[in-house]
Amino acid sequence: MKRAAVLVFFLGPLAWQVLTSFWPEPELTRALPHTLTVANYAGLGSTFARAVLNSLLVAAGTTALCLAAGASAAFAIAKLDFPGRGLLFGGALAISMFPPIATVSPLYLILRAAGLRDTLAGLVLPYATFALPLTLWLLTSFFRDLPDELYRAARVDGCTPWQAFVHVFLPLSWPALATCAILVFIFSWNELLYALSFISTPSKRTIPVAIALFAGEHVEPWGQIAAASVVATVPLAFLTLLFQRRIVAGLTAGAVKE
Amino acid sequence: MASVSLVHVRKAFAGAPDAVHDLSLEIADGEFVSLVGPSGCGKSTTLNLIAGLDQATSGSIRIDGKPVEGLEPGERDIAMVFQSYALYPHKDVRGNLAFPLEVAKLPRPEIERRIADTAELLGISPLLARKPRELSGGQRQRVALGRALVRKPRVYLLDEPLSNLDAGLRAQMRRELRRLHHKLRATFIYVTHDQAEAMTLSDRIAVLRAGELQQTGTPREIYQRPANRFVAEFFGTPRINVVPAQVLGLPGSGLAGIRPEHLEVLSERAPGALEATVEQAELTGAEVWATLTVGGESIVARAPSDFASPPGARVWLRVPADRVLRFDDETRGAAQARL
Repeated sequence: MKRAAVLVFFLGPLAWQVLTSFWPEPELTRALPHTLTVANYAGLGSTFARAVLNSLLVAAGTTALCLAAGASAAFAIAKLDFPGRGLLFGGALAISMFPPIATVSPLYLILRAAGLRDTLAGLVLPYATFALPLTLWLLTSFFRDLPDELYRAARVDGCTPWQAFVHVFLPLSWPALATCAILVFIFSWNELLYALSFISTPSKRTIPVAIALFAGEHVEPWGQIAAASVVATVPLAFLTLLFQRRIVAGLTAGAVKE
Repeated sequence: MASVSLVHVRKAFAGAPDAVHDLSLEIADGEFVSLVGPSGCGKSTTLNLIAGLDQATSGSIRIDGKPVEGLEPGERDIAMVFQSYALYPHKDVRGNLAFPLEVAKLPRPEIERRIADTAELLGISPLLARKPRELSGGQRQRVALGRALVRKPRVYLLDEPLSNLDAGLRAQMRRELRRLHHKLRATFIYVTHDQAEAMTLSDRIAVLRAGELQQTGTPREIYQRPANRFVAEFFGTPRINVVPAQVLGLPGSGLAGIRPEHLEVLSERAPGALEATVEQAELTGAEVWATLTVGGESIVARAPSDFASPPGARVWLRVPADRVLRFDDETRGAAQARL
């Protein structure tokens, strides 16, 4: 009974949205539709397809940048001894404390000065900045949990710190990297504020912006909005399922005696 | 093969007393030397300094006469075996053995040849395709050893390599290490807190306490002529008896030490024997460790396995004077022991 209630609570809105997306526009005022249609999907058009592509590019770019910078920085913070590493860690966390809305104006000016306003790269950079602290936090605690002796063994075996990272620690960190990748991807995929503020050309809009701007002056195309939302959700669900398989616990089992 | 010298090495961590204090130690080519002491004595720190995983605050470390400061761990021609084995969990045994050679960019046929030789030597050839998590503790230990051997380093550093094994396996690996050292004739530096391990394995033992070297010597020297009370008490089970000299009927003030196996327990009064009362007796099989009260002090003595005096019984204790160690007043720190 409890389980059913939880399921309804979480999946109910999603199911309703999926249903709405197949609901013929003229019948929306009824309690339930008589027929189902794919017209809402067909009506999304090439502009929305472009938005999906833009979102994919931005989210993938952000994820790649975040993991590359985050993993190497987290490794250094967790395993290397260098002056100011506490400051670096704390500073990165402090960045995430800023409410995004407060940074819109200054970021706008910076991006304009850098010639990145109204470009997808101009979204990737601030997204990565905001997602990096979380990545750093997750990966640092993951690397801290891997035994120090593994690092020292790699060093004695002739590795530079960078080689130890690439050959020993990176291959062990797939579960953590996958988790971070999903979180960062979802964050960038869903982000609305920056995308709405920094992008003006319609062909460079991302999905959240495109959906937000669906509403016309006189009509709210609920069926199309629902269809667009379903399209936006499917890649995320797919991605999560894909990575879930890689999140295998106990990858480090046998490295050290517990 | 190489000698290792530590010259006035000091290691200080911020806000703590010196982890290693003015340590000077000469380790000869091909020697098996144990660094022994209770936890926190600086033995592992010393090993890390030799490995280059940590930098000494002052002093100098030389391998084969050449200072190694500024050399990366990989450039020092050393190999290390860790307490937790520290095998690479994502690589199979072959990959673990190959890794240091791959980093050194050895040609592939040479790598394969060395892996085969090492696996043969340690009896792990059937395990080459296994992942570390599929191995037993003893097998992991062998692989960890193999990863060190495969490099043919000048110096082997072993950091409590046997302390995660159960007692039976530990004894077996001890013999194995001894055999390997004999075969390789390389320099071994072995860190342990287990005095019995140090005694059975080493050519020479260096005893550390709170970052300071207490004594170096062969196991026999360390056991028979300990430099001070700390060393005397650290080696030997049951522990050496240390009591005021008068209790043993000896002249002078200060403390006297006598090992339990040197005492003789008599059931009848004899000239020169001390009167004692039995507190308890523990039969270990071949012998009995009898705890006796003499002059208000507890003293443990070895008795034959047929010793059957009940608690409270009166016995006599013969103290061979030539076995007694004298310690000066303990208030003067590392007191000297003398025979």
